[in-house]
Amino acid sequence: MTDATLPLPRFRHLGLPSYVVLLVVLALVVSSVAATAPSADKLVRGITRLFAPSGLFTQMVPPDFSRIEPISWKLLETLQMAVAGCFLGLIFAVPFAILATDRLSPHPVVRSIARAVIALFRTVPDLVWAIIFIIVVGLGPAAGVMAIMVDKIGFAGRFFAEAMEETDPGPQDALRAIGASRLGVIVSSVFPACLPSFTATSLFALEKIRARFGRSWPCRSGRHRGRPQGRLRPFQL
Amino acid sequence: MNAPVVPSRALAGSTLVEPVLAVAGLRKSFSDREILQGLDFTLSPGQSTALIGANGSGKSTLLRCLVRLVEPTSGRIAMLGQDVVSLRPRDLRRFRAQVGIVWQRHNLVPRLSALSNVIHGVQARMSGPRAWFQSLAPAEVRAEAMACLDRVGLADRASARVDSISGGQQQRVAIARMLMQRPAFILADEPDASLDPQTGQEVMELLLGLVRQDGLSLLVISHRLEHTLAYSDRILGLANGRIALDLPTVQANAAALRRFFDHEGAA
Repeated sequence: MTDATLPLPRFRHLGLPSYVVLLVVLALVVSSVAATAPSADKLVRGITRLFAPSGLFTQMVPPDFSRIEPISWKLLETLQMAVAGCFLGLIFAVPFAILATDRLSPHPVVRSIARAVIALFRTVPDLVWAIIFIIVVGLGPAAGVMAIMVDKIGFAGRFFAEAMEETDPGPQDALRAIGASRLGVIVSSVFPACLPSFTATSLFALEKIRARFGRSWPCRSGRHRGRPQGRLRPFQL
Repeated sequence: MNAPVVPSRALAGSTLVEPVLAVAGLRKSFSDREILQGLDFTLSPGQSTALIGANGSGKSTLLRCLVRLVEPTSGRIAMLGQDVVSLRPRDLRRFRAQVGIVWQRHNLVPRLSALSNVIHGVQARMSGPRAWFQSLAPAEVRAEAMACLDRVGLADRASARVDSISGGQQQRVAIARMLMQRPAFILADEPDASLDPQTGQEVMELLLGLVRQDGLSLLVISHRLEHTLAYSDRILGLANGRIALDLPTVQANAAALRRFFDHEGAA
């Protein structure tokens, strides 16, 4: 077999700098796991404690339904806040996403601003948004709705923008060549192509809220009522 | 629709009538490479002109420059009585509405029905939700779109999603969308490239029918020599960004065109 017919080597030869970087990353991973991961015996003892007579799970069974009515109303209110906040956030995420997309944004400056706003909405924790909106609109469901809305604009805005970036530019160019307006191109070409992705992102956004809503539920149920009581909020972790 | 005109097979480069397209000194560069190196030619109305050339000779770039989907570096383009290069965005939109483009890859919106895609052609002269989807379109627009689909033989597939029909049918839907524009000039970028010989021939016949029956002007890129010879009145050959061949189709033959491709492809 001549050299020309030899197959390519399976792995590319790495230089010294690449080996050093690889070793540093490996050391970081190993030291992080060693420093923070729980030991096996600690984990076993903890799980056993959960099911002990005075443990959390044992206290939760059977559930105490004596306060089910007020809790149900608050749960309903929380659900309404989640749905309203999510719906508004998804609606407002669309224009932000359009402005943040390379092909659809009217100007690079507008695109940069839209991306910065989406990044800000994503970076600031929703609990912080909640505090801000409590100051703005006062304590109550409205603050929760606003906080969820902003959180969803950040979350869905990015995914919607990515979905729009990934669409085939051909149909958009064709409509532009026809003389279609920017809005016409977006609605009649980009949106239909992005519909599956938009739907998946929207359902996932709702799912995220449901998960948070679920996390607040154990604090209200069973005998676990010695905890501080307050109004239920989806961001009440 | 345009008033039916049945033009005779016009002479190549005839200057007896006002040209529908006049290109002068057209240049286009991408970074350090000059794709179009000063093109000069005119097209008479009601003619079918074939644009041939090897891959990378600048044919598609020329077509895109004509409607400013790609901005020319310099030169003049007068099409349908308008100075294309100096058009402002709003006027450019109005101008583009008069030019139908048939793309190699159809460029239809895949998740929508054939009828909705055809109705998109009305965005050339109508904006707003009525032109977005068939469900929102007024009755007269729907009727016109159905007539366009009927003309390309696809009225019975109006409700089918375009990603569920064949490549040839998709190209026909694209032509129906172009008809919906009511164009005065058609640019076709290898409309037969991705189709089997029979379907490609049908699509070319359809385009030539628009020239012969409706009096539209056609500039079509094709790599199939038999189509170039059968469906054009004039042949322009592009090589290295320049017009290297310009002759009436009646004076051309397959051997001469093949020699042109061989020579320019090797250059």
